[in-house]
Formats: sequence, C-alpha cells, structure tokens
Amino acid sequence: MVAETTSSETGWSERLTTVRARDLMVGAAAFLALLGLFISLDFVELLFEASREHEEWELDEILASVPALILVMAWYAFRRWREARQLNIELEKARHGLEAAHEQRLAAETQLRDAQRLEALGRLAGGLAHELNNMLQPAITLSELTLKKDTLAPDVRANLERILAASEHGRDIVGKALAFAGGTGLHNEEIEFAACLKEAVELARTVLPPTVRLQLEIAAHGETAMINRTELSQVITNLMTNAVGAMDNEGVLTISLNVDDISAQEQTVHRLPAGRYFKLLVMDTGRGMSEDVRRRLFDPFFTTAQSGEHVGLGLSIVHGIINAWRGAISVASSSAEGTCLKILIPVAGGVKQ
Amino acid sequence: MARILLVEDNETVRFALTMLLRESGHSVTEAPDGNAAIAAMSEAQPDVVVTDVFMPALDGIELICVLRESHPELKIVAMSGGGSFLNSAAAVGLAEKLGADVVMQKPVDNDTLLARIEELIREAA
Repeated sequence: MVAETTSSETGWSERLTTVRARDLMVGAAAFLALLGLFISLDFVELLFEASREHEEWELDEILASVPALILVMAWYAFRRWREARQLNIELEKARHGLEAAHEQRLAAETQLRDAQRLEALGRLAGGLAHELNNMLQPAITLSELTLKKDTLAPDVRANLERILAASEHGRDIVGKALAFAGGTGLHNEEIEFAACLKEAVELARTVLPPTVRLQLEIAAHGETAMINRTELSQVITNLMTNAVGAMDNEGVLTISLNVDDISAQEQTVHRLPAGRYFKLLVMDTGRGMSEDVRRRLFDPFFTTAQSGEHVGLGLSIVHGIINAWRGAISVASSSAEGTCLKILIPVAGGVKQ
Repeated sequence: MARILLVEDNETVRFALTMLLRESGHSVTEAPDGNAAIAAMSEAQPDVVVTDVFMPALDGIELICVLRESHPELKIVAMSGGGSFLNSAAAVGLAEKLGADVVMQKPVDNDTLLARIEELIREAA
C-alpha cells in the first residue's frame, strides 16, 4: 500500500515534467502556425493598409503594443515556469520524505518482529531450563553421592566422574540460557550510572589487547538508574569481548553515554514507554556483519566464532539483562564502519512504567 | 541432625535429595506437593522444610505463605528450577520476596544444600 503511494508520488513528479515539455511543444507549434499564417496573409502589409484607410489610427502605438504584449506574456510564462519548478522541488522533497518514512516503518516492523521472536525464544529457554534443571538435579546429586563410596570399581568411578562433569557443564549452560530468558535475577538498586559504567569498563579492560584503543565519551554524570552493578559489569565485559572479536583484535572501541528523551520512533521500535533514558553506544571499527547475522545476533547459541570456544550466549545474556532492566538493545552495522550497539536504559524516575 | 520435610513433585529429584539428606544423617519426610506437605506437617514436625517452587496443586510460593502463617519460626529452603539467578546475591533478594530463609537454584549443589541446612538448624537452636 505504501509502495503504491510512493510510486504515485513519482508519477506526479514525472507528470509535472511532462506537462511542461508538452506546453513548450504546443507553444512552439502555435508560434510557428501563427507566424506562417501572418506571413501568408502579409499581416504587416494588411495592418499598414488598414491604418492608411483609417487615418485616425495610431500605427506606432499599435506596433509598440506588440512587444509590450510579448514582454508581459514572457513575464507571465517565466512566473509560471518558476512556480512549476518550485512545485517540482517540493514534490521531490515530499517523495523523499515518504520514502524515508516508509523505510523507517519497514525497519520498525522488522525490529518489532525480531523482538517478538526473541521474547518467544526467552520463554522457550526459561521453560526448557526449568525442565533440564529437574533432570540435572538427580544426575548431579546421585553421581556425587555414589562417588563418595569407597567400594566403586575404578572404571565405574571414571564413568561416573564423566557423567558428573557433563551434568555440571549442562548446569552452567542452562544457567546462561536462563539469564537470556530473564536477566540474572540480581537485585536492582538505584546507582549513578556513569560512575558505575566507568568502573565496569575498567574491570573489563583485561579483555582488550594492546592493539585495540579504547575511547570513552561519558556524559550524564549524576543521573541514576535502577540496575545491578554485577550485571552491568557482565554486560560491558560481554560487549567488549564481542567487539574485540569483531575487530580481529585491532581497531578502536568507542563507548559513549548520554541521556535524553527517547523519540516516538524509538518508543515504537523498542516498545518502551516515553521518558528519559540513558543511551549507551558501544561502537567498534570491525568488519561489521551481514543482515542475517545482525538479525540473529541476540539469539541464544548463535555464534559466528569458528574456534568453538564460544557457545553463543554472551549477547543473549546481555539482551536478557537489558530487558530485565526494562531497557532495550539494538544493533546497527555496516562493513565500512563496523558495528554499533545501542542500549537504552530508563533513568530512575524518568519513565512512567 | 534435623527433621526435614522435603516437598518436591519430581519423583527422581525427590529420590535423589532424600538419599542425600538421609546419608547425611537427617530424617526425611517426603511430600509431592504443597497440599501433601501441609497434611504431613503435624506428624513430621520438621525443623526445616525444603521445597520446590514450581509444583502442581499448591506450589512452593503458596506453601511458604501458609507455613509462615502457621509456623512463623520454621526454617524454609526454597529451590527453583525456573528462577533465573546465577549467584547467591540474587538468591537473597528472591528469598526475601518469597518469604523463605534460603533460596537455591536447581540443580542445587549437594554440599551447599547441606551447609545451608546446618546453618538454619544452628540459627533455630
């Protein structure tokens, strides 16, 4: 529907251009026809004859009126042409505006679908984790109890130890999946966000190799948010680790923070209530990512790492934590400029929940 | 050693935890849900109730509310499989919300569960 409107706007622009060309052609044809007619009728001679028959006529005045009339018509035509040109420019602007609005709407719809998909994945992860934990409990408890017995044959003991190790690994993975489903469950408190962010960045500096330069642009000092320090630390560590990976260990990592009211578009896209939010940007100068990767970035167990050392839960956990803070996270990326993760976190008392 | 009422709907989990607690010298009464737990209270006379949070019939949250009314001094350990917390700081907040003395994330660690129960018994003494 929107696409039709856009093409209709393009039609108007073309029509306006076409009308002007047609008018010019009609004018030129009319001029040639009238010129031919006047020449064939020997118009000036007729005029001269008529004026000699009518002594009272002032031929000079009649002849003088001809260029005056031409000048007036030329002025009028110029005005019309200028109006048409102005109209065309405005029409072009309106078309661009409509196209931009259309693209924004498509982007908002895509992000909304992605958010709903992640919500569904979160519910699935939470439900699965509950069931898996119930299965892991007897596996771990009974393995440990049995391992305490002195009478176990060595091969049975070795196998039981393997079962226990696998179960404990499963427990760790399930714990991380739960963090994606609803944050880590840590108790939130009102803290000064900028100061806490600086601390978290300092703690996470260890993940940065010397070849990555860190640039901090922190504003919004003194403003507070209802979050948890440990969770913020985990968010920053995960984001910085991810950025370092995206930059192949070389480049500039920029972390910026400011505070502002969110736009109507941000409210729609992130399904957030209006109000004041911290805007935390984490930008890298890495290789960026494809659209497919961008859309699946927060999916649990999604990873582009080849080494197999990452299970793909880092950004899922970040997503879960930010959601638990009633905020939102989104990603913009291009191969030319790297990746920018934008996180919105409500200012304490700045948003009506 | 303590008298423990274990409330857990999953039979295998209940079996494993009962074995753990008995092998540590505690006497255990088992209940598959909140209603059965309330029915068993007078006979079991527990020092500590160890309960799952998500159960059919009367769940752990409702059970804790009922027990806090009738037995304010009772020590309660809540275990959650669906709760989403990764460390003990989170558990403290959740325990306050639930009204339990201790909240643990399933799968609970054997030694940690036994240590918490010992602490609660010492507190009650």
